[in-house]
Amino acid sequence: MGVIAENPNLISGINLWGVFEIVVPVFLLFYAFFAILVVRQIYLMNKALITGISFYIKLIGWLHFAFALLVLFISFLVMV
Amino acid sequence: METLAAFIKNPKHTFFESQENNEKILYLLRRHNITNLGWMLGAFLMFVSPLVLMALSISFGLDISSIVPLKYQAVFTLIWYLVTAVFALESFLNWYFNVYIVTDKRIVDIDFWGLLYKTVSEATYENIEDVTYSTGGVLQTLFNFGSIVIQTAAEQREFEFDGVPNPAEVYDKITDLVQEQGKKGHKKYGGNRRKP
Repeated sequence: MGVIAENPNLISGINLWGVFEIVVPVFLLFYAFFAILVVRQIYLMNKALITGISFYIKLIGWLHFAFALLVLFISFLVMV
Repeated sequence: METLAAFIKNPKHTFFESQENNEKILYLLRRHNITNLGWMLGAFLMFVSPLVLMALSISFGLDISSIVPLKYQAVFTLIWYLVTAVFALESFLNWYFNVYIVTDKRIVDIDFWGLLYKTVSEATYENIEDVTYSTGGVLQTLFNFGSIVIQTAAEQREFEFDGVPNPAEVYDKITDLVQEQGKKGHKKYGGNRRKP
């Protein structure tokens, strides 16, 4: 017999939303780091190829990073 | 807008990393704009799906907040749009910065893949041994784009300009430049035109 079958109260004892409240901010923290990597990538790309819209592409990268930080901040406010 | 085009002849305000002072860019090529349709459609569907879900739940009288609390719904929706944004951004960057450059001195292929990987390959016209272009299929015939394969004697043996617009014009320009270099130097050149 499996662990769950032997302990039917095991799953009901875990607060699913409690798990989300930990997992979501941690995921968003990693995502913010990823967004910084995207900005770095955009700078590398703009170094390799300079065009008339280089500034705007960098701006989009920073806006994406700002959006990631905003969602992280909101998740802290809502969940923690 | 010229900067967002896939086929730019004599581009202005455009430079690449290893460009020499007296080197002129003749063509800046990307995959044809129509090849962006897939990811654009995907990003659009990702963008509208929460709205569609909301409309469906209202029309069927479903109360999602009884299953997922409202505050979690808000955070999940924001995360969804964050993922949608990065999907669209990465797809655009992948198209915009993967370029093929034809200058008056050489051909340059700039490839980005993954997050931080970059490959820059180049070959001078003296090193080009064979050029082939091909178009085929409904989309390529309809929108006049195809591939140009360039065999070289350089370190990178083969260049492939994939899905570029007006491949015949680029092919002609490259073969002309190779023949010019051949007259100046020593190479015997044999071009190859293939159109299925």
